[in-house]
Amino acid sequence: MPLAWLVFSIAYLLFSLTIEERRMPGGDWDPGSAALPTGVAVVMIACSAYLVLKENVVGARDSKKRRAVNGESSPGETRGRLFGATERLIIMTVLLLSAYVLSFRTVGFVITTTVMLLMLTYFYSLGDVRWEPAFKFAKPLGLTTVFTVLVFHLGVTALRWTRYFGRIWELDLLRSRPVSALIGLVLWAVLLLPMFLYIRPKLRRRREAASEAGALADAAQHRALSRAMILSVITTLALYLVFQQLFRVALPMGVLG
Amino acid sequence: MLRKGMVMAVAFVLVAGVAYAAGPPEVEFPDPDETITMVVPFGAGGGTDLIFRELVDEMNNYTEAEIIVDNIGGAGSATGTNEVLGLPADGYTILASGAHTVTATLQGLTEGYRELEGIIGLNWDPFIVAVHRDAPWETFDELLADAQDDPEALTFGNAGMGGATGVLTVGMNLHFDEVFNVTPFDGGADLIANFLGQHVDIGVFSQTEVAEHMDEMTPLMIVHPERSTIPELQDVQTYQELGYEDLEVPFGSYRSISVRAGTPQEHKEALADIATQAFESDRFQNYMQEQGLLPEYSRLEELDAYFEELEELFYPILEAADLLDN
Amino acid sequence: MTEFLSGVALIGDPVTILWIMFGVCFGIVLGAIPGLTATMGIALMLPLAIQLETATGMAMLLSVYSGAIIGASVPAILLGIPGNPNAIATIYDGYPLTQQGRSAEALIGATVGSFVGGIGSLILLALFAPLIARFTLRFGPAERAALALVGLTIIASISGRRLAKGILMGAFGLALAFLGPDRITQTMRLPLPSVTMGTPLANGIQLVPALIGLFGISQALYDISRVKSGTFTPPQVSFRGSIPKPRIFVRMWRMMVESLGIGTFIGAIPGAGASIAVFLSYQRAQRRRAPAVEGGEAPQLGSGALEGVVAPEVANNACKGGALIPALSLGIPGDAATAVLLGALLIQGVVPGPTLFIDELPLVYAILGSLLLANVFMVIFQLAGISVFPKVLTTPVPILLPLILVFSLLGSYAVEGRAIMAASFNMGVALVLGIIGYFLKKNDYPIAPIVLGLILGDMLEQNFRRAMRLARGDYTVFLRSPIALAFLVLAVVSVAYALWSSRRHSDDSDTTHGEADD
Repeated sequence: MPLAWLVFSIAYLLFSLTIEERRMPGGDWDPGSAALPTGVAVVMIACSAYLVLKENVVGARDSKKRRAVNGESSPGETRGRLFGATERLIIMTVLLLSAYVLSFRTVGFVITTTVMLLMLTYFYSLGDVRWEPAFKFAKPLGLTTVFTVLVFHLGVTALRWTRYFGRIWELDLLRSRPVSALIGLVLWAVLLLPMFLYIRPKLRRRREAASEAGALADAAQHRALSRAMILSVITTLALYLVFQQLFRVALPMGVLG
Repeated sequence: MLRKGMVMAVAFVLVAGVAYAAGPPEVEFPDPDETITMVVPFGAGGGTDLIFRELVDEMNNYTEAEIIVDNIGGAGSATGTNEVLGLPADGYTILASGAHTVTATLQGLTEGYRELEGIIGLNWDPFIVAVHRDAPWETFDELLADAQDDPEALTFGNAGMGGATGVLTVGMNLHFDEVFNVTPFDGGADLIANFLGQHVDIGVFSQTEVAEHMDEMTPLMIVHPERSTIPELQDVQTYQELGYEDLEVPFGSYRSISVRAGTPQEHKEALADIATQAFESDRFQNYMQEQGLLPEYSRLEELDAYFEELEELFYPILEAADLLDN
Repeated sequence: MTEFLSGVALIGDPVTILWIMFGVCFGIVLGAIPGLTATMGIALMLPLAIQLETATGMAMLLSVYSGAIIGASVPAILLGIPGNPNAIATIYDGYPLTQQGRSAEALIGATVGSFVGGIGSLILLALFAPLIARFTLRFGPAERAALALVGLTIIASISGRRLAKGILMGAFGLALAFLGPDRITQTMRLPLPSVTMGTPLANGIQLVPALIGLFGISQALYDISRVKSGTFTPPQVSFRGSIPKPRIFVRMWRMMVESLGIGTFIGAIPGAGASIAVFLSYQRAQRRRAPAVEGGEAPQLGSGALEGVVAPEVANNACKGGALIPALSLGIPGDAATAVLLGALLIQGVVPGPTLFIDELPLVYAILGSLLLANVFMVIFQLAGISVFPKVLTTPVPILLPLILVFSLLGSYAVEGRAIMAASFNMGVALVLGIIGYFLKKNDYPIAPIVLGLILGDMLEQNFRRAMRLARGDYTVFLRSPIALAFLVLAVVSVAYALWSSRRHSDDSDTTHGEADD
């Protein structure tokens, strides 16, 4: 780690030296645009060099001593595999978040958020990233996304109609943002609640069937998947209401626009 | 019988479904159920923001579509301008443009007016050069004489190099052989705070700022051919009256409305009509009078031509100040 | 007296009180969502406020302001994510308290602190506004540069024994702050300018997305290891039993007074901002706490001490009153949020400034009165919420973590409200800094110094260079101003003290106890 910082600090120093020194007409009393960045670079190099030295000289001596006292072997040998479950989850999260950020503007808020939430919740519920379930869950993923998009579209169209009627009936209340958000909330709740009430027992039966058949892993998967599907749909719609309708944040609609 | 009813019901559901999904009927621009966003490329509550909020409030009386103000500040006015250039050229996003757009473009921070087209030009907000009440100068001539005695001893503050006050101070300083120590501050409020605390000798302010702080400011010169329309400031002499006719600097801050290039002509004309009605309303005219804003109306292509004039005026000053995009 | 009564009449009607309640609720919700700031909330409500009577409109905007500040303390305490820059210092003890199952206690502490800060600064505002405003005018570039330097010395006291790492992180924060246009000469400071020019990076790194990334996303990545263990934090010990006794707060009175002074004063200096005030008051509280720890009776700041929550919450609420001081008495906004408030007044045709206290006295009383009411409602709603908010933590980790991640990213997006390009870029900033923050956390690097560098970098550089230019290159300008000199001495003393106490600590024993933890 300190070595990485040393490299970064040197790179930053090089960068700060490339900053163009522009001055205003008049005296040269302003220390200039590069002065403080260069100073900061020097401080960074000094600190990271100190840390490198400390770790390699003092640190190595210390840890050798400690290892001798505790009778431990060197760290590399204790690790069996390259990545544990937690590391795999972290890598998956970082990749997923990066994809989310990169595709947010082009693909749009609804689809990216549904997919990301579904995948994160599913893998976190399983506690690991495994290929076989990943393959299996492509279908529910697609289904959930299509479902969210449909429900979303239904709600947004309804809101456009309420604004339209608000205008021709001269009811300003119908056109206000908080009321729109409320109408959206009620509409989606009315749409989704019966559906979940209908689906829940079915899911539970399948899960129970799976656990009776002794496929405990299957039951866990079912549980994780149903939880992820429900959560991603509800959260995506709720986030839209809060951010876009209530706080006027312009969420990109991407391919749905 | 039952069958016929079924068919009717299915047909009804189908028709209703299609009508529902298609949404409310399409109308001409601007769609009354849509929102037109006026991007003000400065923070909320500032001078430019308040003028555009006043105009937008009046504009809402001439269209059924809702027009809202959206503050996107940063990098002079470049962040907000770039944001408008990144949105569809459909007329639903309009930019509070003006002199700041020209300076930001010349500095290379945005493609700016090269990618914008004019809707209407609004007004000039002339600047006033002032010193602190406790300072020894009563006239601009006295101030200039002292500055020439000890060049660069007197500090001349502006609200930021990228903005209109920056261009003005640099232009004035060049005209007077660089006798002032021109120092940029972090926006208008920061300049006033430092000015009232007497950390800077001379400042350049908008008329409303001077009117608010009349007790503590001695206004020396209004940088415009005409005197102010604000009663308290009517005694302030113009630069021409003071004998500096050859001073070539922008007359303060200019404001206009633009859209992204490529917006359909009908949309531009519809917007220009709405904005013109608001501009000509008694309310906005009175507001301008009260604030000392001097009307400078132009429409569509006239505004584009006006921007070219502004560019010619600003270019040499920014070049001399080493602020051009290299 | 008649002015006072007419002022009361301006806000006394039920409609105004309803607007105040609405404003506080709206503010709390807004503040609790990471990325949504008080400034944004006020700007959002501005068109509505203009439609109302001047006093009612101002009352509503002030309520949003008050609510947003206390709202930000909720995610700071429960999840360790500051909702907005006001709550940065609240997380250091608020989050450890939550991890010990004492979240209700922390939330109550924050509420009490907020109330004390809000009311205290209100009293100072009512009594001494013109006086304090005049004094803050003496803060020119040299004084502000010196103040920024004092702010940077906080790095030493929050890094504990990791001083070299702390300084390195502080420098990294400064380096981040220096990206983008140099505000003095407009020089672009960008790596690979041919690629980055014209992108939102040309406007530099924004504070809120950086905060959300460094604290929110990095913490979430760190917590992924908990998905197997099931719960996020230990369950709340019974709610009733965890209410701190009033005596505890009474004993903190000196610390509260100090934080109140720091908050009101820093808030009154235009452009200084609450984030400096909360760190300074936290640092003071830390010093004040130090002797007690030697006796081994109470947790030290940074490991879940109630003082560490109360002090910054007093300070950030005091900032709110402080920022109104120059705004009302001089017409100069103390921060971005008061700039919008001033704009609202100007639109209504009220000109703030010295004459306001003479010509518009009823309005001034109405503003003060509505702030008082807003503070009262703030406490009521917050206390009502305290029994509900911690329920968030009973959500299983596999559900809560994705929610935190998506809120963090959307929150960084929402900072720019409606600017899609800049907002998407902000999500990237939050993510990258979140990943960096995760690795720093793993390797025991303190993160707070990065934030300090990021906050203070601009203030330090601009004012330092401006002071140099105004003084025609004369460095003694920093010694000739008594205020600047006092700050410089304070900075030196502060660093010396931190060095001395960190050395003493490492001499004492090897206990990891006492390090400010992130």
